[in-house]
Amino acid sequence: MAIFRRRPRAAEWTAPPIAATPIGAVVTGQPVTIDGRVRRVKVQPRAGVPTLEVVVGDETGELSVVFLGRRRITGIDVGTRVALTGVAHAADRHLRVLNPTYTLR
Amino acid sequence: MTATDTNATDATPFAMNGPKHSVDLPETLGYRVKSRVLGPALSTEQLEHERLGIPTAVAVFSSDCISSSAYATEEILRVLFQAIGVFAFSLLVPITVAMIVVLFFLILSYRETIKEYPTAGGAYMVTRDNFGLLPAQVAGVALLTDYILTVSVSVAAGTAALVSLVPSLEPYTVVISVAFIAIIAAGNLKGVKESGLVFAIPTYFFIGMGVLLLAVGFWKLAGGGLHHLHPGLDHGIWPEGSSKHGIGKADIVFYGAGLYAVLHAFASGGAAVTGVEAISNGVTAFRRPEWKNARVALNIMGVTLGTLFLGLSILATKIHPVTFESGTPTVISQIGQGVFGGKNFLYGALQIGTLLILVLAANTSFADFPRLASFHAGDNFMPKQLTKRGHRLVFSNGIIALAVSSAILVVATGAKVDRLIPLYAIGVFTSFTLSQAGMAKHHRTKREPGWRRGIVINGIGAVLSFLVLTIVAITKFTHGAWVIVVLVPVLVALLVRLNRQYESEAAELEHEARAAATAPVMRRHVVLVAVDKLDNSAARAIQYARTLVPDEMRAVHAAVDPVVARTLHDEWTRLGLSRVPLEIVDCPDRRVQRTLAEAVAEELADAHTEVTVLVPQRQYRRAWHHLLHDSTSKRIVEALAGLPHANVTIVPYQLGSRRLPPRPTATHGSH
Repeated sequence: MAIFRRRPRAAEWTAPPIAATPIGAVVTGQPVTIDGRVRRVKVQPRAGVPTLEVVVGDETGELSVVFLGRRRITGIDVGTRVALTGVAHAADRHLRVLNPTYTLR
Repeated sequence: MTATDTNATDATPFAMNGPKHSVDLPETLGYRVKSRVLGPALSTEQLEHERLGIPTAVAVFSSDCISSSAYATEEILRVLFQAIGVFAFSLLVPITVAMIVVLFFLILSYRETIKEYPTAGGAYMVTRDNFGLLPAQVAGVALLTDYILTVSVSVAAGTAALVSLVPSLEPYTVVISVAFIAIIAAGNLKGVKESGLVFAIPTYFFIGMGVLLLAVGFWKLAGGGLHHLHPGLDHGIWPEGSSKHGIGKADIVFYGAGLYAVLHAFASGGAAVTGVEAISNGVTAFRRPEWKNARVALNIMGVTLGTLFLGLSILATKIHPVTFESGTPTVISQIGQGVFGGKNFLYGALQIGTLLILVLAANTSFADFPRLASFHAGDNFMPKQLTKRGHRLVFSNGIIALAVSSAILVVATGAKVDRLIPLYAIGVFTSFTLSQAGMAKHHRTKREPGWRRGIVINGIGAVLSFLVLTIVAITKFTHGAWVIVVLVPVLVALLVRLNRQYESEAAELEHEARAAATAPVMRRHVVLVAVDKLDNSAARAIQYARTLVPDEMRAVHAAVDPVVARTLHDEWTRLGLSRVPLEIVDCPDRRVQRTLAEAVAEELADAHTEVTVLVPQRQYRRAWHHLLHDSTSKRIVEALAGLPHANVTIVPYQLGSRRLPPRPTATHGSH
């Protein structure tokens, strides 16, 4: 049930393309490189396991990225463009990538 | 000094900010002003405790009707003068008598109405009861337009009386009239119902002065001491450029245009009987037995009006007053001058009496219009706000609506009675016709003792009212009556449209409401706290959120400014609120409300989630403080309003409610 259609974000793509898979085409269980923008950051307060969860998206889709053991990664903020390499697996509604390597772009 | 002492003194300012146990709920400035101006709010229990005896009731209800005698003669004369010149005076009394015959039958008819509808009389109720809702709208709207006109006409005529007395006020006629309307409206908002004396003095003063005028007039008439006021008129010098003095005998004028003129004059005289319905609207205000007392009051009113009207017309034929284009000096003031022999004390008293009763007549409309409008609104034909009783238990919105519309009318016509009169009386006679016909039908269906007599009386009343209505509508059509003829159907159509809207809303709201209330609830409840930055206003919302036990809860920040987002991110990690994570959402187009709506929509997408959004809202102490800030929180509420199962809770933060501890001047806030 899509009550809101997502805004088109094509205009964001200004950096030169790298050999990345469109997020919409990511499959689970295989190493993959994606290139997108941080759309959401989940800030866990000082309790429990330190985690940083962000949602990265391009014009084909979104997936969730979780960095375990960290609360904050300087440079990974809402709106920054980032390239990630890791293995995706299915989490309840999103694909999720745990502890990928990242490059700020 | 010990350590504990120091702590205690340090803690003092915070203790003042902490939870206070005495409830301190200050009234707003607006309310305090209102209470000062209008007096303390009346409690609902105080409604309708005062019952009126006959003398007071006559004063309260009949000022509208009796005051008509102050201008009815003049309006008949004005039309006759223009058409038939010198013969005006010979036709004045016959036309007056014809009008009094109409009055007589109307009084008879209303005696029936009072008896049959002692609780809620009035044309609207009678028509609704016997013909249904739609005809009742016609009767009601017609009456409402006439209540507006009653205010305009009475105030304009009252101002004319004042200007006749003090001619130097003439340039300020419109201003004085509007001021009168404002004063009467203010008095009604305050609730003048309590003070029967306020009504009694001017009404009886006017009646007394009128009777004195007639007595002196007829005494002088019998002794031959009454002379024409403007002797020149008898020799063919005419005001208002009439050229009819070539016609020889009075009978000729009954032909052609003459007959039309007579009917037109009669129609103008119809203004005299407006206000007859006032008593039937207010039977419940009488002392027990209500209907009997109301009938007596109606008789007194009819006799008084008839006597004054006829007497003034007879005196006019002897004194030959002149109608003026400017409206002043008025005919009644000229008669007063002729009878009392110049501008003396008695003349002044008559003018003041006229002024007072006319202002009171306007006041009668202020009682009737709001009540009638509330009937309409109660039947879903007018905005519901009109049913609301205000601060002083009066229908404040109706009073304001009446004041505004009558003031507009007064300004538009330059407060000239003769320009208002053509609009007048159509509405009243429309409602007379409908309510009398309704009464006739009532007798036929109910067949109470004496129903045959009732049918005859109300039948005659209905036919006569309809006849007068037709005459008024035709003869005054081109003079301005067309406005009302067009306006009433348009307004009725509008009310019907309004009613359809109300009915469909009600139908939708009531459709299976009980089933909806007991339907299974959503499986999941998500609470989102809209956070702009970590301030006290957001803190209130977070604190409130922590008292809730939803399935999922998080704060949401729409990141318009990356610096603000980063600061918030850092501060949030230091907070240590284990239950409330923060989600920072990119907001590249800077529409915070849209970003939040998307976040909510995403939660709603599974169709078994109820979402609550907590929106911190700053409450400003002064109206102008609002100008210093944008109203993002309001826009958030609007953006979420269309989503099913999205709920918004406003968490208020009262600015100026905290007393800050003294701040060291050297350091500054981190943002």
